[in-house]
Amino acid sequence: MIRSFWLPMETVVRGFFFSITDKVMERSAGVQEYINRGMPLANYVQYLKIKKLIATEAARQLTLPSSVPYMWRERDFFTRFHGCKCLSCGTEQYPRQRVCYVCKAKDSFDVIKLSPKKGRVITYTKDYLFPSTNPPHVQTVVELDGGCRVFMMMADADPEKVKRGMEVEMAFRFLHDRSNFYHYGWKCRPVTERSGG
Amino acid sequence: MALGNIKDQVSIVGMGCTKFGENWDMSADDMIVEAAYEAFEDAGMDPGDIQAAWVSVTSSGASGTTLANPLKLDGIPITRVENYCASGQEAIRNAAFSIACGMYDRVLALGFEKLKDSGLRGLPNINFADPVIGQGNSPPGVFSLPWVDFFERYGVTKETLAKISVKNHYHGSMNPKAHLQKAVSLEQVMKAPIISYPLGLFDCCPTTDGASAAILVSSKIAKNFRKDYISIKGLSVAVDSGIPGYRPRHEFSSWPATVKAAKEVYRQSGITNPRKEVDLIELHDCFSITELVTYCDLGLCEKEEVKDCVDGGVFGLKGDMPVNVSGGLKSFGHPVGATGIRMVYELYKQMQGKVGGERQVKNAKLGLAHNLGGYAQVAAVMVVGLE
Repeated sequence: MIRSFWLPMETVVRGFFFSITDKVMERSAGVQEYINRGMPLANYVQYLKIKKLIATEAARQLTLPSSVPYMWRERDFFTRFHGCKCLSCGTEQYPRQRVCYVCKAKDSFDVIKLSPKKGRVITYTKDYLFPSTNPPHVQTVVELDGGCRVFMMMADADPEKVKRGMEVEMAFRFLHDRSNFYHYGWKCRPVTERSGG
Repeated sequence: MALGNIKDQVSIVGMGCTKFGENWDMSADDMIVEAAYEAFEDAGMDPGDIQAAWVSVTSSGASGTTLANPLKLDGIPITRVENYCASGQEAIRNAAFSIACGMYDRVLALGFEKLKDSGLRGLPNINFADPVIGQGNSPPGVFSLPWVDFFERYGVTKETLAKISVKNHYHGSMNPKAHLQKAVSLEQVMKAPIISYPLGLFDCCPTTDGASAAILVSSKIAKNFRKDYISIKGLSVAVDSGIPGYRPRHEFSSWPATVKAAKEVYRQSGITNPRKEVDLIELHDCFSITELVTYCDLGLCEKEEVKDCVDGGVFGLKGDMPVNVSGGLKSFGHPVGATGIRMVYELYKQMQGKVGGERQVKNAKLGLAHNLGGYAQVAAVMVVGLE
């Protein structure tokens, strides 16, 4: 619950009140869960790279220049992970489209939420070239429940355990800080026992 | 209704190609001059004879000025074309259409790329890497994706891919203009460091500087320049909508752009059985797996038999369908804008019997060039032949 309140004498202070309700039991992961999910880093150098305490070989900027107007305009699809479902043929697709991939109907979509969905890995690779703090980076093509296909980075991956058909869930993660601001987006993550519910 | 046919309207009477490699002592301008003047000399033409030009370059320059400046072409129409790795063929394709419509009869198509000055490895800022939805990708990562289908369903193994690299390195070792001129063994390829599974170092083409040029004329006047000119039998480009990773129901065992471009070019050139009718093929082996998938997409063999065809040497110099006898992108190199044109350079020299030695394909009369780019959404296929 959030309240804002006014003090007298024309002083304005805005504060947040939080009260804990029963809905907290519906959260999929608490602090202990995150501790249990932790994976050890392979070596100390990885830690130094993540914390930017060590210089690494300059990698190609495999990114178009980004901007705040762009990220703001696409916030529902990039940050909230909405997709769209064609009203004519039912195909779920991502990100927002004006014209359906399959039946080419124009501007005939419902917006849908993709973040609660689970999916399966259709294909993947283990990429040592993509700049990552702990290579190999696992890149996947995921088919979400409902058929939407998403080209996703895999988080918390054990590269040796990835396989086609593996069940994944969606996770909101840091992507990069190029163009001078932080970018967050959605990655897939192997389904763990606790959050399988 | 349109959908006409370009067959036998446009011919190539001169071609040039620089050494491909880490050309530290050549600028883009130097390479453009080398390739263009070799073509002018080959055709017996002066630069001033050219009526229009198309220049293909993806990251090393923009605008027709990249060609006009070093060659001092004065005031003629010069268009820069780009379509990822299909750029080189786009230059030839657009140049050919300008002749077929009757507007010009002598045009130049030149492709170049200067990738080695940056000091960083790999391709530069690729236009398709969106800051959010394009993250996580590298070129080998993107092209490797068919591996799961082929390994699980069609019996292909890492060794099958390695055999393709061995073949192309062997061809390149006999090609004096190739970037890499050293044969490699199957063991070397299998044990090389992994770049993006299952692709290892020797499954990936190098980063290369180079330029290549073609002089096209109307087929009606081709014989005034030389007897052994080659003519375009078919030209096509196909662009698929959507990055494959986001495309609903996409099957990763095929790249539809290649299939569609090939189908159109076979229609134009009248080819019904490419493996029997085409004498040699230069295809886009940016990675060994790309060549494997393309064998099937071009209709050279079925997916169920591709492993056996590779094992049996079908696509080598001694096989019935020689592929990438130049060394391919794998060892000839891949300066993106130049590649499509230098593929035609190989077909041209082969059909003229000027290659010689073990690499010469006997009685080569009909050749096919294929390119595939982007996230593998853009394909170009061309067929050229003697007379």
